[in-house]
Amino acid sequence: MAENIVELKDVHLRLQSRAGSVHILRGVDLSIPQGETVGIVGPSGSGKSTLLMIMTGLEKATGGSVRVAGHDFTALDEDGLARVRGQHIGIVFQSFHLVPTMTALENVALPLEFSGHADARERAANILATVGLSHRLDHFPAQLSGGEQQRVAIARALAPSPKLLFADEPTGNLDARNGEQIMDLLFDLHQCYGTTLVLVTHDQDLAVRCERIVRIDDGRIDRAQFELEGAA
Amino acid sequence: MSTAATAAERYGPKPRLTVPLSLRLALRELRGGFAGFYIFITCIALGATAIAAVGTLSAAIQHAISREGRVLLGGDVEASLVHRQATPEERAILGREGAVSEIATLRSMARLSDASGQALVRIKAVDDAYPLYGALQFEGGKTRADIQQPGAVAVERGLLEQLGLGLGDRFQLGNETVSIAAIIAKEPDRLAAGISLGPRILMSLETLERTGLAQPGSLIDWRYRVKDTGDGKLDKATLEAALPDTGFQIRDRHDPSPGISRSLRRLSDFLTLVGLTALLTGGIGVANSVSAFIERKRKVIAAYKALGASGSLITRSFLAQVLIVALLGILIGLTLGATLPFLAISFYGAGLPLQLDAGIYPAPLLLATAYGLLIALIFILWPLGRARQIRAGELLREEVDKGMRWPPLAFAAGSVVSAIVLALMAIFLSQQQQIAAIALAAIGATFAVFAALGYGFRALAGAIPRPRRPELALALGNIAGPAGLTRTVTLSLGAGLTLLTAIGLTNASMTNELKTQMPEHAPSHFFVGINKADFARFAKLIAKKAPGSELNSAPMLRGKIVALAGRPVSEIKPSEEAAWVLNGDRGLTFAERLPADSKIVEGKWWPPHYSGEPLVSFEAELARGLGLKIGDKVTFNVLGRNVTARIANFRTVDWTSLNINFVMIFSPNTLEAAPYNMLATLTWPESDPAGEAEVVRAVAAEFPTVTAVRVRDALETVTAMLGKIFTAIRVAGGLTLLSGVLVLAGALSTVRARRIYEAVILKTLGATRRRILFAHIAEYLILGLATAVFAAIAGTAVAYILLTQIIDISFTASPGALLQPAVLATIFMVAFGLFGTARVLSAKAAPYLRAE
Repeated sequence: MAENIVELKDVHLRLQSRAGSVHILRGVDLSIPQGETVGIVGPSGSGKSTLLMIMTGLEKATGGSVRVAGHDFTALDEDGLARVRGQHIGIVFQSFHLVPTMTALENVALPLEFSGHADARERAANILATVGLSHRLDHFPAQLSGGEQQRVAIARALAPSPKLLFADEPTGNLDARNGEQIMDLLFDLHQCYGTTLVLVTHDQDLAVRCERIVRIDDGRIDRAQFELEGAA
Repeated sequence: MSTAATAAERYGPKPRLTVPLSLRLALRELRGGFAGFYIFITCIALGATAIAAVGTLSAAIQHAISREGRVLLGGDVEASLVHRQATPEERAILGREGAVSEIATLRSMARLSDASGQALVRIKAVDDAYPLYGALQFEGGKTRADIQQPGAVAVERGLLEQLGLGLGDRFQLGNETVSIAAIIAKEPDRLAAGISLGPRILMSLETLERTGLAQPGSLIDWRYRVKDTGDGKLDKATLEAALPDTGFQIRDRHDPSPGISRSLRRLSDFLTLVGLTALLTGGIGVANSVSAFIERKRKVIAAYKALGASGSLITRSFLAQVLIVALLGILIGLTLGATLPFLAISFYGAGLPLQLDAGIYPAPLLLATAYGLLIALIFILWPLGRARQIRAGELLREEVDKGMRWPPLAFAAGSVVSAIVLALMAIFLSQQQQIAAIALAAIGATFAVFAALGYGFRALAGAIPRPRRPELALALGNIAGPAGLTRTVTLSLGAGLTLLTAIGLTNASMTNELKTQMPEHAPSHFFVGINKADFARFAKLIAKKAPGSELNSAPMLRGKIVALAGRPVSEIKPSEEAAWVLNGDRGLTFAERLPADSKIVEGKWWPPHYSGEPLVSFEAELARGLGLKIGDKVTFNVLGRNVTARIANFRTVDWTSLNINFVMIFSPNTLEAAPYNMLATLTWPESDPAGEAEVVRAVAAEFPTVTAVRVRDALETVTAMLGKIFTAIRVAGGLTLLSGVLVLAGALSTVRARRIYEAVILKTLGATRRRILFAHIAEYLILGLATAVFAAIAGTAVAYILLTQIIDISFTASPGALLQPAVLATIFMVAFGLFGTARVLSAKAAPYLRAE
């Protein structure tokens, strides 16, 4: 059996708000082996995006242990977490979150430059070609369609060849046709690179393409994890 | 009654004050307060404060001058003569208009009896009737009676300090030993005398007579003040009609000191222009503020449109909102502008020679309101036009490209028309319209240069290949980005820094010209009032006491031009540069040969021993300013007689040599028969303070009526005054920079949300905080330095043109004046930027990344 690349044990997240303390994650245990595709599903406000934030180190758990790609996230500071992300983690957001002042090529090259790759631009151009955007290298985000922006975001997430790819409602801002193309792309790339893919979605139809579905409700993992052999 | 009827009654139309819907919507929107408008309000308030404060102070001074006109002038009307007293006939004419007081003013030297010290003094000899208005006050309860005795004088404290004297001590004045009988506490008509060198000595006319200083040809102003004892209508025109062609210079209580009034108006005009620059810079903050406001309100505007509001209703409503905000800024500016001058005076104004009345002076407040509103309109209309372009569809879908679009034509035209009205107002309300127009053009050009620099710089940052270092690539990306700070930074800091650089360089060049350029060629002393009969003896003394030095001399009288080319002076409209020639008395001289510093540019010099029609040589540039040509006749009044001479030639003069120079030089036969004195300059081959002092002592001992003016003292007085004026200009210029900094702070706060978002994305991609910090520092440093360098270049160009083309002195590069604004710009930019960055770096990522 493959080694676990994500290991969450009794993870809690409490946030302070004006109304008092809010308990968002209530003891989540989750292990994801290297190379697996996992769909995290749940209704709005169930804590699925928060769980993604915890797994990517963008939010710090207030309790429990978080180990990702061999690193103990609870022991790392903000910059340490940034470095781990730069080396091992790619994230695709619903709202793309491209740097508006940079071209598609520059956006994709950015994580490679952060991790000191001398050939960042060449690699970025190759990856953009892989996602079918070789004709859009010098376009700024505002000059691209939603589908194209999401392709750039995926290319950027995959550029440093991460072990782990997280996607948070990657088709949420796209129409059905573009959404399907993006999903095909994500799964093709997973196949091609062997990347672990964690997909957060409220859409059951998308989730079923994953090898495993994790349902989350009210901050807890709701159902036993089950395998969908042969899915996707 | 049915339910429907009740509802209709409750919600249906009721008779009430009809506030237009647009205004109601505006007021509803503003219920939430003025958040987001603080920079807008401060920018407008700052500029309006500057303009209102300068205008209020100037109006208060003018008001005090005209209120105290009689006291400052010493009468209702003053008629003054140079060199000679009024004739009995003239006295009789003056006497018919009211009570007359006779006063003589002149410069002389006060010397200690043991020749150990001397000082340049301003003598005022008065008759018993003085002062006709106001009260003369002495320290320690002394009265007029104490200086009534022949040989008794009252002095200003400055003289006691200068010569180490005390009450009751004696000193030499001309041929007389006088005693200090009183110390002047308040001289009611001091201000009208203007600014001049040396402390005042007050005495009776009889004492003046005893000093022997009042000789034919002596440079004495004889002033006749008249107190209107009749119908109260006595003014300048009355006396001008009663005393035609007599050489009297006449002033009345309405403008007791035309020189001071003129300087005040000019300084006030100039500071208003500087205030306008601050307001213009603030205008960029206004435009940014309104753009951000419209951006925040996109959904609201789209919702209004979706609900059926017309574009014009929305425009009117948002225009009303921003105008209310502008008016609030103006109101704050007016309040501060109307009160700050008096607060400042109550702290620092004890030494002012005038009692200023605190009060509301409507004219400057109206002016500040008009300028404030026009600036607001220029900068509001453009971004407001975009509100009209927002479509209802945006409620359903974000506009993909919110890039720069031109506003509808009416809005662009409104902005342009407001700018034209503002420029015309500034020009036509100025006393020196040509200078105001040039200044406005320069201000406009500066803004255009920095706007272009913003575009150019953005384009350049976009065009150069991205560096490998991601921090630099990020910095360049931000500079090149359409929503970046580049244009705001160059525009907001550029004008202020250019202005400060230009002011600094002009000040440095002028001070340098006065301090270092002159002494190399300049004489050490001027000697005034050497009797023509004594001159040979005087020259011999100088040759003995200062061997190797150079003595230059010229005969001198003073006279007033009364007509040029057959037209009376009152009908002549001279250029601004030449107007001073016609104001008051001018020094007149005659010469056989062309002086060394001069060069004939047109016409011919007269032959030796010329004895024909009186001829005059005129300084070429001033002659052009007065519209004169060769062959024109110049009529001047000297010693009560009108003399006419024909212009034989035009010549250039090197005024900066500080040698004896005159606007007009006459052929000797014109003036040599008149009683005149000699004016002499003494130039040493090398500076020799001990030798200079010895010569002055020897001259004072042998020629007690001769006045020695040390050139260095005169230059120091001018330098000190220049320093004070430049301080005022620098403070006003500093306001422009302050305005720019405010604009910058506003712009940084507008982009903060975007910066945080960007930093968060970078963090998700693996960027450490240090990297983000470096990227920001690099961006701010590049922007700050680029703006500073261009401001230094633009400021230098402005100062260079001003100095070499208008003021006509050489340009001095001053590293201090050049670097100070540049360093300031970079510090401001980086400091303000990093203050924002601190908040960017500490922002939590999660809230920004969650799907909307």
